[in-house]
Amino acid sequence: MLEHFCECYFDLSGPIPCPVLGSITPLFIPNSRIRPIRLIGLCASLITFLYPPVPRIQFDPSTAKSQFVESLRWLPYENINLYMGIDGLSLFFVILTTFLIPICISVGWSGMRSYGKEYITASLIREFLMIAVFRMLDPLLFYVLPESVPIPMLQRKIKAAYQFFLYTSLGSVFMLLAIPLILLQTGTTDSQISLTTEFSERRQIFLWIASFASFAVKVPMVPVHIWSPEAHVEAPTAGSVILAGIPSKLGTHGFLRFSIPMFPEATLRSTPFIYTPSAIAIIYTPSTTSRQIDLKKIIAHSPVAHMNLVTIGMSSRAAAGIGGSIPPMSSHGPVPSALFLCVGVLYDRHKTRLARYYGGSVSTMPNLSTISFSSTLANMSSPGTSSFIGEFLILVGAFQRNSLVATLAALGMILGAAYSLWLYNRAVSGNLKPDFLHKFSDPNGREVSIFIPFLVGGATDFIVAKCYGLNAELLTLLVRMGVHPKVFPDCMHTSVSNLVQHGKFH
Amino acid sequence: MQEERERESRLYREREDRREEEEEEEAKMGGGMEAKKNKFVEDWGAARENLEHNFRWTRRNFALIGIFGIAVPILVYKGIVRDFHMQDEDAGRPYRKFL
Repeated sequence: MLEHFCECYFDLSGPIPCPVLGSITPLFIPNSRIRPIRLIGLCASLITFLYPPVPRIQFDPSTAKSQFVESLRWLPYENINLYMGIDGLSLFFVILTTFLIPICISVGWSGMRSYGKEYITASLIREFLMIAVFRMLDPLLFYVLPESVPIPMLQRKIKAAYQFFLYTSLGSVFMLLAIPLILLQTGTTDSQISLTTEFSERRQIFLWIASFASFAVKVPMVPVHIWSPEAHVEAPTAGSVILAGIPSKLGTHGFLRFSIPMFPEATLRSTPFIYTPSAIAIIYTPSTTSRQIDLKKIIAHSPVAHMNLVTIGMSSRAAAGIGGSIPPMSSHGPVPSALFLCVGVLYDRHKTRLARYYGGSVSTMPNLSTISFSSTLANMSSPGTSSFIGEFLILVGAFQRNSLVATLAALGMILGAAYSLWLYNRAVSGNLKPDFLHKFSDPNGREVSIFIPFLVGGATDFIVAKCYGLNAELLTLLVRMGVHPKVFPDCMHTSVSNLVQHGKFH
Repeated sequence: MQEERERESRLYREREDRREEEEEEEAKMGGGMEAKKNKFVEDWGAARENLEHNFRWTRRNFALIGIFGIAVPILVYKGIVRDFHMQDEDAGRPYRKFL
């Protein structure tokens, strides 16, 4: 039994067992010895981060087939396998996940004293689950693993945690109904076989609605987005960073991986059904955000608008729209995360998130002001930042399909810029408020070192590339995404073209 | 000898723990930077953050929900479908069917 287990799991590549081992090891160390616990957690997450360059270098962008495929028989009596691989659609999400977890561990470095073991274990289990989700090629396990992701996130404030868990679980129940139907028709849950199966139009619509109910909650789309700002606000800073960075991409990744290629007829017929809530979200979210008074809540609303722009791009059924929807998904991992970190720095000092108390930070905390300015620019999708090129491509794709929805999306981007600048002005510019805040301190060394990868992320990858003696052009991230976005189309063009052709969209 | 070694290692651990605590205190900037909270701002903030507790079904709220929750989404949906149908007319093909 043990031999069989070892034989099966030995082949799983580094990013999977590394966080698992890292999450188990602290359990054998007493909680009083916090230093080794933290170091083990950080080292495990860093090793996991350094691992992806190997697949990135060997990754062949000229094929749409899944690469580094690993298969493991999961259920002995059914044709259901643990089937994982990486293609142009999932490559960047795996890198993003491994990038954010060491940052989350660094964010909680001094705050995890009393619960260090639990913090590290939860973070690394979460990392393992999220990497597995993005690599998963089996719809059944794609249902099981995202359902497990919220469990290590249930950290604080019961109401928000219940809301988060209930919304995502209820949405996914419909997908659970769809999986037996796929299994019944295809005899397997292997997505490669399911993709080549012709479902009847009626069945496609049923399956599409079931998967839409699951993925729409995760995106989150209006009106099932209420859990998102609540969960962001009540989570600790590291939790907000992860929530903004990864789980919201599970829904859009699900659309790309399963809904669009498996049910193309249903996707075509439901285009206005996706466009409407997405356009509404893009207009309503920035409008409601500009009325918020909690700094964290203001930032928490921004992924809702950005992710709905992504769903518009994916539903545009054009190569520009679908291809353009992946860079914003990768970009809107680090961007809101950096903004949450800025608010975290303010909260650590002043113990309040009410915008009313803040003002004039530019004269008292110039470094933080500079960092938050660059993050705000990225949140506005200014040219030169990582968000710009993807959102531009989405608008191009949307204009090709429907001018009304493209106009609404463009209007939403303007509103997004308005609330981003409003937030920046409230917190950073203006007059100091000495009646409320009397003592200040710019970010310390640890905090600055957390921000640096967000600002010059390309450099870290460049160092990794040099260590491996590899082509650095493939290893760019974040800021370089804005000034040198070619890396995205290069890596994912074949996968996107295959998706468009497979969907018979033309 | 064995006891002495144990005592040394215990002292070392205690010293390390103390040093870590000091580092953490430094990391927290020694505190004292908390905002002086204003009662009126806090009450205002609490009222704004807990709108659901004070929500009442008034005529105004009905109208707002009717407009922004029902009418606007329906209009947007109709507009999007109309745009697709205009494309169909231009291409001279029958109207596409949607959900």
